[in-house]
Parts: sequence; structure tokens; C-alpha cells
Amino acid sequence: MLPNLIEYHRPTTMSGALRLLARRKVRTVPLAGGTALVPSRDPSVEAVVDLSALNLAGIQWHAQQAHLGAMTTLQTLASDEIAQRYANGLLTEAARVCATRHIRNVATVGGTLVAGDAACDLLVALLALDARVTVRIRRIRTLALDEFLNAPSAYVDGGIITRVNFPYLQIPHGAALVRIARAPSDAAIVNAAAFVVLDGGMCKQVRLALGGVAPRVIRAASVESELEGRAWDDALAARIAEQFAASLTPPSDARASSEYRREMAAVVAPRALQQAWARAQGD
Amino acid sequence: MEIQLTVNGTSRAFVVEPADTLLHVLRREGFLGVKHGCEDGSCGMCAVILDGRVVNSCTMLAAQAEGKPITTIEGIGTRDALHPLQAAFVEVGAVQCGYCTPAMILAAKALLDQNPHPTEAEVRDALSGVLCRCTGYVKPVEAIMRVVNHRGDLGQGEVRDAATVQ
Ligand SMILES: Cc1cc2nc3c(=O)[nH]c(=O)nc-3n(C[C@H](O)[C@H](O)[C@H](O)COP(=O)(O)OP(=O)(O)OC[C@H]3O[C@@H](n4cnc5c(N)ncnc54)[C@H](O)[C@@H]3O)c2cc1C
Ligand code: FES
Ligand code: FES
Repeated sequence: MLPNLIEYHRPTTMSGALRLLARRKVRTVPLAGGTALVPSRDPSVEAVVDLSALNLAGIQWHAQQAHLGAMTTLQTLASDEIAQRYANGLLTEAARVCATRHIRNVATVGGTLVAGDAACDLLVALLALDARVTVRIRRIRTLALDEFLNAPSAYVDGGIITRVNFPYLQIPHGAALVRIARAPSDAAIVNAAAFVVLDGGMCKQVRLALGGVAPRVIRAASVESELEGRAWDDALAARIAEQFAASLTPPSDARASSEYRREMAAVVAPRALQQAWARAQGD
Repeated sequence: MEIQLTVNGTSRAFVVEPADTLLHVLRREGFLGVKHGCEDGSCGMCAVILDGRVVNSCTMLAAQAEGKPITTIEGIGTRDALHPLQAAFVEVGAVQCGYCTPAMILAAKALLDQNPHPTEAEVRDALSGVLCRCTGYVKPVEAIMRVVNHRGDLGQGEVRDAATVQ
């Protein structure tokens, strides 16, 4: 419960919503599903702007790009038929494992960008898909998810995330999500998502994202650049990913120690790359 | 502030504070089948069916539910005419302390209303947000699968629509 909440608004226009969010006297924040905000007990929140009447929900698959409206629920994503097929169902799998059915039915893509934790499966998957985030404050700004995650609250300050988009490729590719958790329905301790694009036996593009190894989900850019443009070699990919994992200094918490996370990163990262490659070749 | 909520088929105005969660309002109004558990989204005891989907009422403001039909356990079956899911839970013995039972029934009902022939994996996914601390999931899943496989032969009650129940 939000102890100091005194106003609830459900505007029907974007300009009305932005006007409310721009107020300085009453601390006003966007409300999507509420699954993170409402139980946060954040005493600074005095007013919420419910985004549900702004038409920000829905998934569109265009010729080259996919658009996820910020208010799309995780369950809508998990049951989207194209998402279930594209990139080996990477996004639907990530949405399904990242929260229970009860939470997926209300939690949104936009809320997850702001509230998702350092091992959020959906964020790891979206990073691997090269997602970009569109934020509307006074003007519309689109930036890479990787950059956005450096300071989500600074980028949305007074604004609204309207959508997330990522390339919808029609050329051969493969993807995989590998996670380690206490039980399948538990939050991930460490996870990795890989996305590879083929060009014959060559690896044209690689994306590798990891969760649970740093204060936020990260991309393994050095692994990506070492593998891109080469003939694929499973052993080489594994070695490079293991080296990357060894260089990490993950945080320790109640779920796992830093050492455990580092060792598991060296397991999930090569596995995700190898599975993605195998799938790109049709298994 | 005043909001219009439709609970178990009855629509009326409720006076609420902006900060009131749906859980607080429902319990204050006497719907005590909606349990107050963790209050942070982890246990699922506060489940209701909102607009056809099972959700946690504790992580949602009451105002967010405006205009969408809400079903609580009080809207499902009666003592004399149990809902087939309730009858199956009794027959299978899918209950220990009973604290999670309303949430289990609601999660199962939301699933079966959408998908009358789910697989066991889909049933387990539907229960993923319900944390039973006693009996576990084997018997509840068995009870739900019994309804899936023998629709109609269980219990006295019709599959009652929220709208027909007071
Ligand atoms: C029991 C439980 C378990 C969870 N487990 C996990 C987990 O394992 N991993 C994980 O990553 N997360 C987990 N979550 C968190 C979950 O990811 C978030 O609760 C959820 O994604 C938030 O989405 P929401 O739509 O409910 O956001 P809200 O709670 O409505 O909002 C969250 C934040 O985002 C802001 N916001 C929302 N939408 C927008 C927008 N369009 N534009 C600008 N700002 C916006 C809000 O102002 C708020 O600060 C868990 C949550 C619960 C309750
Ligand atoms: S009381 Fe709502 S999820 Fe536990
Ligand atoms: S029967 Fe006791 S919590 Fe499930």
C-alpha cells in the first residue's frame, strides 16, 4: 500500500497524462499494473496516473520491426502466437518464467522496464533482441534498452514509456534462454539469453545478455564482437563466454554468493550461445 | 473518492481512499473469502477474477478495478449447489487447512472458462501464483483434471455464472 497516496487519475489523453506527471508540487508517477508500485510502500508517491486508458496496449508485427505497447501485459506477450514462434519463442518463454500467472495477467512490459530486477528474464531476452525503448516526455525519444537500463528513472522522469520495439528478422536466426533458479517458478539466480544470425556457416550477428551477475542485466559486448563475422565454432564460443564470465564480479545476496553467480554465468552463457546456434541451424 | 465496482454480478458505488487496494475494499465490504496474506504479490491468497483473469487484489488499487467485473469465491457455487470444481476438491480431498482453497478454485475457474480442456501443464501454470503451504499441488491438480475430464458428472451445481449469483 502507498501510505501517502492522495490522488488517483485515469486520463484518456496523452497530453492530459503528461500534464499531470509534470506537476512539481504533488509527486506524481505513472501506474501500469501496479504489481511493483502498489506493494512498494513508497512514501514519496502522492499521486498516480493510471495509464490504462491511453491505448498503449498491444503487439504489432510489422515487416521489419515488432512493437510492444508499454501497457501490454506479460500474459498477452506469453500467449502471442507470433511471439511464440519468432526467435524460438524467446520472448514468450521469458515472459512466462519471469512471473506467476496472477502477476503476468496485470504486470506490463513498460512496468518491467522500470521495476524489473537484475536477473529479470524478460529484460535479458529483450536485450538479446536489441530492443529500443520509446519514452515520451515533452518530445518523443527512442533509445537502446541497454542505455535506458543505466538509469530508468532518469529517462522516464516526468514521462511515459510508450513502447518497446525490436527488429523482426526474416533471415535465419536462433535464440535461447538458459536460467538457473531454485525451482522452475522461482526468480532466476543467473540467466543468459543469446540470439544469433546466420550467414551460411558464418555468424553474422551475436547478442548475448546476462542477468544476476551485476547490479542490472548486462550485454556481453566483448563476446559478441569476438564471435561476429567468424565461422561458428562451439568450443570457441564456449571459451570466450567462459572468459567473459570469469571477469565478472557479481553481487552477493540471499539467493546466491558472488562466486556461485560467476561460476554459473560460465555455465549458462556458453549453453545459451550453443543452443541458439543449434536452433539457428534447425536443431 | 467514489468508484463503481461490480462484484459477483452486483454493481454499486463504493467510497474509497485513493490508496485503498482492491483487497482492502473487498474485505471491508465483507468478502472474507478474499484472504489477506503477504500483501506483496507473492502468495496469491487474495486472488479474484477480474474481467475473466485471475489477479492478486493486494497489488492493485481498488480504483484500477473500476468498470470490470469482479468474481470472488462468494460468487461461485452455494452450500447446497457446489460448483463442479468445489465438488471435485471435496471428493478428491484437495484441502488441508483450506486457506488457499478459494484462490485455487478461482485460478482453476478462470482457466477453465477460457480453456475448457487444458493440459496438466496448463493447470499447473494457472496455479503458479497460488502458494499452498499445506497439501501441495498434487491433489488440487488431480481435482481440476477430474473436472476437465468429466465435465458435468460432478457435484449438484451448474457451472454458475457470476452474474446469476448474489
Ligand atoms: C511476487 C512478485 C514476484 C516478482 N518476481 C520478479 C522477478 O523474478 N523478476 C523480475 O524482474 N521482476 C519480478 N517482479 C516484478 C515485476 O517484474 C514487476 O512487478 C512488474 O513487471 C511491474 O509491472 P507493472 O506493470 O505492474 O508496473 P507498476 O508496478 O505499475 O510500475 C512499476 C514502475 O514502473 C513505472 N512505470 C510503469 N509503466 C510505466 C510507463 N509506461 N512509463 C513510465 N513509467 C512506468 C511506475 O511508475 C513504477 O515506478 C515480481 C513481482 C512480484 C509482485
Ligand atoms: S496477499 Fe496478495 S499475493 Fe499474498
Ligand atoms: S491447504 Fe493450507 S494453504 Fe493450501
